[in-house]
Amino acid sequence: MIVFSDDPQSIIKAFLLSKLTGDMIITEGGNDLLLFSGDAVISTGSYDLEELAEQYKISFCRNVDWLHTYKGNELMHFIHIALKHNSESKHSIIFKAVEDAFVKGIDYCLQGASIYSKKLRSLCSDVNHEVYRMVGFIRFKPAGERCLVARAPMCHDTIDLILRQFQDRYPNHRVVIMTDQRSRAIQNGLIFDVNSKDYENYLKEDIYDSVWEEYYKSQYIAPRKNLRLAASKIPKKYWDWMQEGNILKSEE
Amino acid sequence: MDIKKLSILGEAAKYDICSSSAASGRKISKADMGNTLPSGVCHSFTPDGRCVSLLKVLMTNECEKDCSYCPNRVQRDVPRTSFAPEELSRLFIDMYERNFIEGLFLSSGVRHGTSDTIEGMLKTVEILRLKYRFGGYIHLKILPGASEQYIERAAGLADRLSLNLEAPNEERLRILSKSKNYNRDLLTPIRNIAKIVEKSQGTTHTTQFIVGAAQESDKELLASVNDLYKSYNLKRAYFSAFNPVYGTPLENVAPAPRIRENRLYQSDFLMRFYNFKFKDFYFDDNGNLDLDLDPKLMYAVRNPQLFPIEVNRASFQQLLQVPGIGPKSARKILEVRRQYRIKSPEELKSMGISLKRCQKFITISGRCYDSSRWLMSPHRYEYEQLSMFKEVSL
Repeated sequence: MIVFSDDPQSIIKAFLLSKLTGDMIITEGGNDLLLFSGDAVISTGSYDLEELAEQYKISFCRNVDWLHTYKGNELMHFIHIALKHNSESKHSIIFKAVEDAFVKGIDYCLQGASIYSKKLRSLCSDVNHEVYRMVGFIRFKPAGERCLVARAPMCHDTIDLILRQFQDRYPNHRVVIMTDQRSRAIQNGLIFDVNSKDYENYLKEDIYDSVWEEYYKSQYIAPRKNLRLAASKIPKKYWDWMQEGNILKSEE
Repeated sequence: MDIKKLSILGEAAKYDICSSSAASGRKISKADMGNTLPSGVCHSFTPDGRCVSLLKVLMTNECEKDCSYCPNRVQRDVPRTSFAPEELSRLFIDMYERNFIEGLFLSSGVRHGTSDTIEGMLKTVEILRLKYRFGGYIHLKILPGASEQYIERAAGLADRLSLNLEAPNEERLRILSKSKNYNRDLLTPIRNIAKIVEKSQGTTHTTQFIVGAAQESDKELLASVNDLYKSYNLKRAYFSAFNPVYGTPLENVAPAPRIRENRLYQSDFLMRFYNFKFKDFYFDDNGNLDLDLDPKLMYAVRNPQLFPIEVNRASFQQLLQVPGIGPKSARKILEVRRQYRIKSPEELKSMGISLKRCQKFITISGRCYDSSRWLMSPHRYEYEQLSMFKEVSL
């Protein structure tokens, strides 16, 4: 049995090992099987990717040179992003898509031409969407000198990706984001855990909430009302969290 | 803080459509706050579905111009107010810090002459860039008749400059404004902007047209846009469907249909990203685009000899002519084709291509999956249910 870690290289190594040895990859929910596997557990950590790729190339006569080009990096990036998804079936989708890349060609996989590579892209798209939305929708409150704090609802494990985006925006600030599961902060490029109790007090309303509400109302052109479009841009699940959600609700 | 002032000056600026915050490059080094992203960020959406990404305000809504469509025209009785540069820059920084907005869109009514007004606008932006070391996105409106010296200063500070042409030519502008001269006040500054922006790295310029206020045709608008892209290095043109404003000379003019605005945007995108030329658009007898068929579909209908094309052999340019296939999809097809022959419509569907739109115009490995008969009569006939009691003239 092949075990792997949540890392793109490890996943590709696991796929190559499974093809070369014929062993089974343990994906989600399969950890119980390890109890019965005895010594027959192969960990991807003890193998080199280049060596495995070379062996695969010789054994299956397939071109794997793309692994060392930007296309290989692109596939790794897709896997890295897809691993942040909260879906339970993400590992099996990733392995099927990796198989497409090795069997049908890297471009076939990257362009999402098969069902599984399309699903892989869809996982990435969900994660990227959440990051993009949160970068726009999160509202900070100042928490002392050069510190900003916000609470946000997140479906996927995107908190670190979002913090990185905010670091470029506020390079001299400590940025803290709190979710229901954890609280993380970024400062000087370093991401670390923080205690949410230290920042809860700063999340109260301030004058700028009403400034924003007034400004938001002033931008609405009533004859062009298109609530369906607005709801597709700000999904209803965010309406209770965002301040302007009440205004959108009142227009329904 | 005077929230009412923000409301008045925000509302006065809302008819400027451009809300893009996409930019590349920084205007200052070692910014204390703010960055620009090539894709831009939307921070909210109003109930009309438009993106709110910028603090879009006027410096003042006091205006000495008489534009007959404008809610801020001199003759109109509305509350007037203005921002001081320090006040507006502080408000902006506080809102940016809280992540309400992505950048600033600063326009203004003309008060005490163009130079005086632009001076105030430039001072605001200078405070942001130099005092607060703001490195994010700033869009600065250039007022009609602005001199080259002001444009040069503005280009050094802002990521985007724009001057609204509003009408496609001098004749149409005369319907909208008696006090503006098309060549002197609009085209000459645009020419200067184009010249300066070319030298200033990371700065782009745009313009906006009002659709339907001066009874202009789509042909006139697109001819003007085509000329701006060719000769003035314009980044893009915006179109705003006319909505009559109470208390203006055009208050009784019918609003322009939104679909017309949509067709103009589609044509604009075809020119910018699909290599379509002005001659590739088809207009009716009044010079307007078809409201039922989009411009690309209309091109396909008028050129049936070009279709169907084989997706495994067609060039990038040929793929771009197929309705439902855009530059991104065309590139995907080319990438996949390098190692793999596309065999079924499902593969195209998985790549995100709309089969419903493109299937009539393509073959996949020599096989056509839809009838091209539709091309012969694309307009749907509207059948009317006759009434038994209605008088019918025989």
